[in-house]
Amino acid sequence: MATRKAGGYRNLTGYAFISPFLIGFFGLTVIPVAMTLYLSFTDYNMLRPPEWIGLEHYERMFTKDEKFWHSLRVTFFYTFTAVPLRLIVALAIAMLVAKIVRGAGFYRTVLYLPSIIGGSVAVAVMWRQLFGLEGAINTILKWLGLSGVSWLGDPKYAIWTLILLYGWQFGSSMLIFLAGLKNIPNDYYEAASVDGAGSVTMFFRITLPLLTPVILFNVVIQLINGFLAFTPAYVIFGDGRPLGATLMYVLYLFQNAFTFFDMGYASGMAWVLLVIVGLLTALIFKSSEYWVHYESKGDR
Amino acid sequence: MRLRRIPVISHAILLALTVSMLYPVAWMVASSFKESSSVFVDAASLIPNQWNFDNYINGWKGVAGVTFTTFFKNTFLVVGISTIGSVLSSAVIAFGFSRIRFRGRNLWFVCMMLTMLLPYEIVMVPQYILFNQFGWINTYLPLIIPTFFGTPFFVFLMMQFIRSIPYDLDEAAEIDGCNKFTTFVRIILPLILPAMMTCVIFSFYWRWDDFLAPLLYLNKVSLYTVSLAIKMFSDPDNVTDWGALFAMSTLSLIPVCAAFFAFQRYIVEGIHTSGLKG
Amino acid sequence: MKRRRMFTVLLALMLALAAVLSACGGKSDNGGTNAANSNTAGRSENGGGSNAGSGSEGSGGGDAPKPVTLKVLWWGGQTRHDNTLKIIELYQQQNPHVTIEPEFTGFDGYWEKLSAMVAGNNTPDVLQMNFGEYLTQYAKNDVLADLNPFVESGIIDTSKLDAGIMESGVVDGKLLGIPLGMNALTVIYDPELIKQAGAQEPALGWTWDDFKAIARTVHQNLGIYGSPTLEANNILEYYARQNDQKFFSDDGTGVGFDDQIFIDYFNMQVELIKEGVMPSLDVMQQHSALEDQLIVHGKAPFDVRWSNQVVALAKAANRPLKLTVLPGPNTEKGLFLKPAMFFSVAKDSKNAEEAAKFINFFVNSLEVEEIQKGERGVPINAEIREAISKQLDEVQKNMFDYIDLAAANSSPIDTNYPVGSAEVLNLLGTDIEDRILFAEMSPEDGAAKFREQTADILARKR
Repeated sequence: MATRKAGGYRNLTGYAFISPFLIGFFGLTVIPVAMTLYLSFTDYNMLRPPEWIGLEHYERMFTKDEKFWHSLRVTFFYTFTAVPLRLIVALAIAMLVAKIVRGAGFYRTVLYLPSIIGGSVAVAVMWRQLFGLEGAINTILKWLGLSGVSWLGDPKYAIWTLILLYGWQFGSSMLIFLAGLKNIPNDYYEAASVDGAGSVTMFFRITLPLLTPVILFNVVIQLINGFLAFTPAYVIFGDGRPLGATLMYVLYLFQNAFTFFDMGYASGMAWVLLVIVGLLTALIFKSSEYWVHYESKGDR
Repeated sequence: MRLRRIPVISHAILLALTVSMLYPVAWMVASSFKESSSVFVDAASLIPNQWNFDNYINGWKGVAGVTFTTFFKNTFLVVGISTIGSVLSSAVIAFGFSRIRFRGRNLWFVCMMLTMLLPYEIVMVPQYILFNQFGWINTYLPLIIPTFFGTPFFVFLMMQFIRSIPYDLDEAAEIDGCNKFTTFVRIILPLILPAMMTCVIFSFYWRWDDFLAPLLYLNKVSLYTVSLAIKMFSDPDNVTDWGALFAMSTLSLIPVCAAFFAFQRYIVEGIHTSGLKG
Repeated sequence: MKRRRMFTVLLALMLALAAVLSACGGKSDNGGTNAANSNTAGRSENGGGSNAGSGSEGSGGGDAPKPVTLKVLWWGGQTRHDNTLKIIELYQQQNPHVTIEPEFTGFDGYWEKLSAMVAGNNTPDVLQMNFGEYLTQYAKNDVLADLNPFVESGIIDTSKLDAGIMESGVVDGKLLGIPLGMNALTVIYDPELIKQAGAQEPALGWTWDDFKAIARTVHQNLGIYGSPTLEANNILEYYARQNDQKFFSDDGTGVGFDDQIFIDYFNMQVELIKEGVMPSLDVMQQHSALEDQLIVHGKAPFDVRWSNQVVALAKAANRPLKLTVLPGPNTEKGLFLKPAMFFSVAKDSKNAEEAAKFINFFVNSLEVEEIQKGERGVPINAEIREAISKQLDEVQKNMFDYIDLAAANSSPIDTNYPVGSAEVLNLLGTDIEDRILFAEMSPEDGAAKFREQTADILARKR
């Protein structure tokens, strides 16, 4: 089957289909991206042409810059707490919503609402009110007989307001799960119920395996999102206070670039992040061979 | 319509969720009716002391005689075109990556994924220099043209959906005389409609909410988008018109909400109308 | 079949839209000739005169001034945008040969935009600039034009401008920015609360001891806080100046004041926090927005701010608040007038002279201030300040009066902000201050750490 001619034709069609990507990649993306890599080896403040300094930035990052390590720790904690939280909530609610027949559109819209108020100034003000000392969250805690917490002021809790915000905005992940759930043909369930399978069995035998491609997608994307998270921390806490508890990696990177006029250093940080997230993503992709189930195995 | 069981409990849980979802939004809407200087003083109350529509009137006036009518029109133009561009181009690319085994496929896929990993804040200055060379400053081109070359996020999402479609369908189509392109258009495209609509919803929101790119590339106020215009209300060192800010933020939610409501149904219905019988 | 047609239609639509779009792009390129011109002018070193060339097509007159286009960039809120646009219109009426292309944003994103413009050789002719790190950075990197020649040739008339505040725009002997207004640190207080507590209102000549006494009395008698914690980023410098020292050393290599000053400054607050007179830092964290400060809510009788912030604060508080100088001793040594913002001219501007004329108009015309009424800070032109103060509302009038008081009780601002000062202030304001006020670090250790790390940062940035 795989004659030379067929292979050539396949390559041609393949490249034809991905040509929009290739044109954009070489025309618009590669130059700026390569430039940032170059800038990471230079002293560059945007106001003056860059000056080559070799590995100096990376050396400082790894050996001297405590804040670099600190922000990395904050970001790791944030990502590995907020992302599972959001995904579990999103999946559970997507399954709930998928069952609803009447008013489903309404529910979906309402549940998606938090995701579209995004990282605006309005959200920042509102979230601060909600988590204030006398805010709604503490009021509820007091009803439950628990003592209130200084969510915004205590370094132990501040990061949790961001994690909860991330969880609250689960709408986009929910939507992807919903689309995935709806993509599972009903025949499968019908066949299974004829065989007498219960709903738990169906979940583990049908829903979960067939949802794995979408789960893979969500995990990868949310992992990237988590590491790149910046806006919420920036609009709610501004400068990483209290005590650097909300100093996310990209926030620190942003400070370096535009407050400290050190675009070279910031570019270096961006590439370190790229390597970290790239490795994690590669790991997930490698592992996906064992747990992700595609209906179309051999493509050609 | 398989699971019609226990909708009461589901509804109850959903209702509770709805409230916790809606409270913050309601707070923002309520604040948009409060007098600007009392937004913080009456922060705890959900219902304003008096309903003040001035915020909407003042806010809508915008800046320098350019009203939010213009900003909304601009945003619709940019968002509309870039959404169509990015979703369609991403679908084409996704098909290429997931259905055709060609030389170098993995390499290009990795390249695409890597472009997602750099924060925009870093790429934006080099990109500005490049687009400046193209003479694109003060036009919508920097906001729109890049979307026509696919959005990695959407490509990846649609790939995952395409890969869960059994290959038999493609084979059947090829036996019927379809080539790759007609297979894509006739068979795959209808089947990934839910994924495409998901992308439409995301793209609409992202483009709508985008602030940094319009900030960099648009200089004339008559070209401003809504998200950019809203930022003009706030000045951390001076009087911020919080009322107008909340009022326009509230209005800015409406199109995104409407777009969501309009497209979400395809996510659900897409699969049923087309069916999987081949 | 049906679906396929839909796709074709969509594709056609997409192409049509793209066509329309590129047409739009082309048109706006032609309309904004200057944008394109100044790009090329900026890129090619000897591309000067392209502006004048393209502009003169339209004008017939032989001896009329050559038409020029100026790009003017500023940050601000809605009011400032509206005001400035009116001012620009007025200027264009009086100077028909000048076309001004305004560009403006909120404060959020301003510096990102400006950096990108400079990096892209697209710097606007006139740009709003900030004192401190920003001015230093833009100065050291040779982005801004020296305005001294224009002052010497009389294009910018400085005869009525406050000489002290003009100094703030000078870096290494070059005049790089003309201040558009003045601010000063001020203590804002609620006379009613202080009266209720039975304490005496602060007055000129008061000291930190008086401040502590009033704060304690208010706290004890009314059960509210006596004062918010003080932001080291603003007030520590005043405290150092009170004691005849500077925040940064003159050679720009490190901290310019003794550890003991740092220790005294923080000990006062640590003590007051322990007594409950000042709130702990986690309470302060709740109140970040200007309109959300303790004094607005009637939870403290004091606040210490820049005078331009008083307007927003007073509006939110919605009751009479008074202003006075910061506590002494030596208030007049510590206090200084600060430029609220500058207008600067880009070094590679092809129309620097016209830009200078515009700035002169901005600071020396009563008409300008009649439009903006102190929105960019209290005018630095004494005559205008005098004339305009009659047209102000109560809150603004208080602010203007306060600047007069401050002017009479202050010394010139220290302009020796080294490159790297933003990182130093960030270290102080978000790290060391927090640690000390959270009692995780003693003021003594804080002083040592601040000194050491400041030296590191400044050495690295040199």
